[in-house]
Amino acid sequence: MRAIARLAAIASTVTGFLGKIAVLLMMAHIGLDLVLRVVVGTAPEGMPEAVARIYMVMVVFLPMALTQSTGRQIEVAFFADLMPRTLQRIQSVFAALVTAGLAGLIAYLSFDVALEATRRGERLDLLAASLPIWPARWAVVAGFAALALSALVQAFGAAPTLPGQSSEPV
Amino acid sequence: MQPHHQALIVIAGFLILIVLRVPVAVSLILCGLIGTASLIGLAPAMALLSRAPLEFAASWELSAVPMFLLMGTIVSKSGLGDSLFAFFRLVFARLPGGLAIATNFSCAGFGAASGSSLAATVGVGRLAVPHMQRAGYDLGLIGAVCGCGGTLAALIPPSIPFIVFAILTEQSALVLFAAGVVPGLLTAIAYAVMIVARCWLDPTLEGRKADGARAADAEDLSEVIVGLWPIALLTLIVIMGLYGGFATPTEAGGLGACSALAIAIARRSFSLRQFWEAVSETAVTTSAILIIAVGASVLTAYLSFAGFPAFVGESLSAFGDGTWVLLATLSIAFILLGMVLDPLGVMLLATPIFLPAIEAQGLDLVWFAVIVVKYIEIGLITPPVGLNLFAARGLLPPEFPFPRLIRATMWFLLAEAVVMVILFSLPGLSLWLPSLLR
Repeated sequence: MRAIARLAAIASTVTGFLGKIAVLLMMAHIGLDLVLRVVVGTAPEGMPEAVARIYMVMVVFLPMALTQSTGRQIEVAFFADLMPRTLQRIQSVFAALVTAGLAGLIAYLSFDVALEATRRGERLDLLAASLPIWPARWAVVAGFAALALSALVQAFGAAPTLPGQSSEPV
Repeated sequence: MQPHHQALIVIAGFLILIVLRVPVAVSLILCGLIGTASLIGLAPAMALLSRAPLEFAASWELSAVPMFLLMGTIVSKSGLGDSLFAFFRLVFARLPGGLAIATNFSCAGFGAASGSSLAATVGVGRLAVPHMQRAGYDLGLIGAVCGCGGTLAALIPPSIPFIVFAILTEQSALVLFAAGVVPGLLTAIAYAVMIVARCWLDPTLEGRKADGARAADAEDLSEVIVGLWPIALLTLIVIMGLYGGFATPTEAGGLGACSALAIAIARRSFSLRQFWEAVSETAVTTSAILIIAVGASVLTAYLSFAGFPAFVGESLSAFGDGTWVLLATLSIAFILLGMVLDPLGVMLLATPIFLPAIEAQGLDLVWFAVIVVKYIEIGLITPPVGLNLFAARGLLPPEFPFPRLIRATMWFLLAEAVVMVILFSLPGLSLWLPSLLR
């Protein structure tokens, strides 16, 4: 379990870091494009496509595990907070397992799509060039896989301990 | 079983999941998947799910969201908006509840430079709360004015909810931005009138005895006005970009973020560490809110397959004069959803359901946009999931009880009710500015 927890922490940090880099790249690319258009009158084509098909996908999906592990996922805590403590723990395990299951399923499903896109070198045709967009497919896989791991670790961490089991957090 | 009856069961399942604290995005995607599978089979539903998240997120228009969030976070962390509070504090110093009114209008001004309600609440609250606490203001009023004032950013352009609504309904974001100005100012004025009335009737709310005088501020107004240049310049750049015709909303967001960074660096009020914190916060917030948008797109796609929007429209038309029944139903649905869902989730889930009925009634979509954004703004301050209330709670001493903050917020909700009646009765208020652009 410790190994999975460590792997989840690394996955969450790495995917979160890449998501933050995507925010920076998005800002820099849009800013540079505008400056070039205003100053020189023209800019290399493909900025909107790169922003939408690459940076945006990275920003939305990659930080999901970080969002989950830092408790920033949007959820309705009000009703669960009214439950008795034992029920709350069961509910936490349930919510984390549902999250892990669904995220794992989407990671698995999008893996095939990403693999196929990589094999055929998926690109977006522009006027004079083309933009490789297959790497963004892997952002979806990585984001959901990291989220599944993170939620799984949370499920085990929140599980009520049975008599004789160690209560040490993972 | 009819598909739309099945849809009702799926919606009930979604509500059960969120009550069990399953993340909203996960609940939306899961129910969308189950519903779609029940209609077209598991394999086709899985095939749709393997591509749908990326296809929805890879949107140029939606990219405006992280850019405006980044701009707002930079403004908040670098203190670019601090002078706003100093300015309004002097302007409203002589009025009952002057500091609270200054906080309220500072939030509106901050909204013009951020587009994010949470950034406005935290950005202005960080500054205003210590001032109000020192003056002896009631903590409930302090929290409520920060939380509720922050929602003004949803209406004052550039507004993230209007961008999302524009994408959903294929409207011009610029026209919707213009439509939000008058309702935004009207809401700020309604809040201010309510604050004045309450503090006039009960001076202890502003830490003053019944016959006590308000302390005058010694700051020089001209100096404070000069100090407004960073926020004024930033707002001007964004508005020029948007309405000068050289930037789309996304580009204006990127331009705003770059300009905020440049101004903050020029003022030497921003470190590299703060910038990285702003980037980190933007990445996490964007992911948290847009993954819900992805989930809502999966569930609403299913609801459309199931013919649910048409079913809602037909059911409402059975009540005779459709318009008022539709508006009443819509209002109840938005208020109830706003109590349990985040703002964008409400908009993305409910708008596609009501849109066909709104179009069938021949109602103006720009006016409808204002009504929807007003309702999701109200959702930000209605318990139990009032995101702005939680943000405001974080600004108050830890021992302050949350129910007291909710009670203080009720006065602001009363003001909101008055504003909603005005906006429903006088659509021209929302449509006047857009009519100049069309």
